[in-house]
Formats: sequence, structure tokens, C-alpha cells
Amino acid sequence: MKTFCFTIKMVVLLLLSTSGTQAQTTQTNLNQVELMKQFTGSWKSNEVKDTTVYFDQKLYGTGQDIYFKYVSKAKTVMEGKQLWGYVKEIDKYILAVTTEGHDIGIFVFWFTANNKWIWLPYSSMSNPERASIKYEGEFKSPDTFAETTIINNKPVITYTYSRIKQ
Amino acid sequence: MKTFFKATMIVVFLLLCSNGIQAQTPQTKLNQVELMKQGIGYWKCESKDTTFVIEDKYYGGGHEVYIKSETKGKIIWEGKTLVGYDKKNDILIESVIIHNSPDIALYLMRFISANKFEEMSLENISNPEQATEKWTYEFKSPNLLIATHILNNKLVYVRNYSRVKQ
Repeated sequence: MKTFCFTIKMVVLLLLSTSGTQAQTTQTNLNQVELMKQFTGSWKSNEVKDTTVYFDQKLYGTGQDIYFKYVSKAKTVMEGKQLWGYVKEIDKYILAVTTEGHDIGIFVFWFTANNKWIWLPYSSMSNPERASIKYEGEFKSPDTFAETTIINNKPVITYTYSRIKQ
Repeated sequence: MKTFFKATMIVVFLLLCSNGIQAQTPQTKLNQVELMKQGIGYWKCESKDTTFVIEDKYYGGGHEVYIKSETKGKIIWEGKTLVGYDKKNDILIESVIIHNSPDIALYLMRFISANKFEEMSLENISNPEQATEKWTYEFKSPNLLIATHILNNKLVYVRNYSRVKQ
């Protein structure tokens, strides 16, 4: 009888421990939709000499509608549109990008921490570690973020963006 | 022997003719990007008490499309889409966000003739003929677009969109 009681206690203890672990795991899940809202607004970067990159991001449903342009010596040298939308099934964002003279780009984006993210071509989603190109970013503050382009696992360039207050 | 020789000559002649015809009929590849420009503009379909709107703007290398359904002056659904060309697969890719739906959806669009294109989920890219859901859009004239929706081999709707000159 004593052995039986002990066994029951052990099982209950193990069950409680498992529940505790599950609760902790759920708590660390990132709310991709909420975190994405940090990008809303207008941003600019002066990383490249003589060129300023502008992004204007507006919320649309759970996604974002984005206009971007590269301006050099007061002339727009490149511009395009982006549409970012959430996919519940994979708990990630899909980004569609069109730029004059280029193919449409389809990317997958997700936050890896409250202030850090990664995005890479949609075609590399099943094998992110083997993606030939990816981008990693971090919010340094609500008004600043940095994003690094990584090609073949080597950082190539980092753009720092600051919020344009209107 | 003479008959056999004559028959052989006829077969050789027919084969030569057949090759000649093939050579005279070059495989004309449809220019997906150019053909898609037929859709630029404001299109409206009035059906009973519901109005469907497609507003297609060419912008930054792609099409920015606004879609809307309205019943008795009230918006039932609306969405934004971004359409661009994918050279690798010679198709157009459309990303769609419906305002009151959380998820983004990706579709492939392909002109199958100069005035007709079909659309289906991008998941069907490797097996388009097996798609259970498909939309067909046909430009009957520069001012008339007919949209047909098929689901599981059953007709869901046919909508006649007329171009609204603005």
C-alpha cells in the first residue's frame, strides 16, 4: 500500500512538472502580429554614400502596406511596394516585394526574440540554415533598428534605420 | 517493289512537309508582364444588390490591386494585392491580404492565351492541373473582363466586370 501511494505521488508530481513546463513554453511564445507593429511608421537610413533609403509602413489588417524608395542627389533611383501578411499555419509573415525591373520577391519573416528577427527567401523556408541570403535585424530602441544582409553566412552590410517623426 | 518505293517516297514527303510546318510555326511564348497590363484600370461588376470592384494600378515593377465587395453601400470585404513576375517559373505571383482576414495568401497567375489567364493557389505550382480551386479571367474586349470561379469542378460564379473610365 505504501509503495502504491508513493507511486501515485510520483506520477502526480511528474504530471504537475509537465504542466509547469508547458505553461513556461507557452509564455515564451512570441506574438508575431503584435511584434510586427513595431515597424509601423516612416524610417530612413543613410548607410550608403549619397543615398537615403526611405520606408513608409502602414498597418493593413494584420499585415502592412509598404512603400519604399532610394533617393540619391535629390533623385529617386529606385522605388517599390511591399505587402507583408501573417500566416497562422506557420506563425510567420510572408513578404511580397516588387521593384521596377526586378522579379517579385517572396520572403518569409519571423521574430526570434521580442526585438530580433530574421527573413529569407520563401523558397528557403524549409531549410533556413542553408539559405544563400538572409537578413537579420534588431530593434535597438523603438526608434532605431539595424538590419544586416548575410550572404553565404557572411555579413555583407548593415543598414541602420531611424524613425522619421512626423 | 515499285509500289513499296512509291509508298516510301510519300511517307518521306509527308515527314518533310510536317517538319516544314513545325519550322514555320514558332513557339510563341506569352509575355506575362505585358499581357497583365490589360488589367490596369478600374473595373466594376454589378450583381443584384452587390457591387464588386477591382482597381489595378501598375507601380514599381508590379501591380497594386485593390479589391472590394459592397452590398447596399456597405463594404462586405476589401483587400489589397501585389502582383509581380517570377521569371524562373514564367508566372505572375499574387499576394493577397483581405482586410478582415488574418492571413496573407499567395496565388500563381498565368496567361494561357493572349486574353485569358488562370489563377490558383501557389501550392499548386508543381501540379496546376490538379488544382481543386481555380479562377479564370478573360478579357472579352478591352472593356469587358469575365471572371469565373471553379471549386471542385463546380461553378461558383461568373462575374462580368466592365471597365469604368475615370
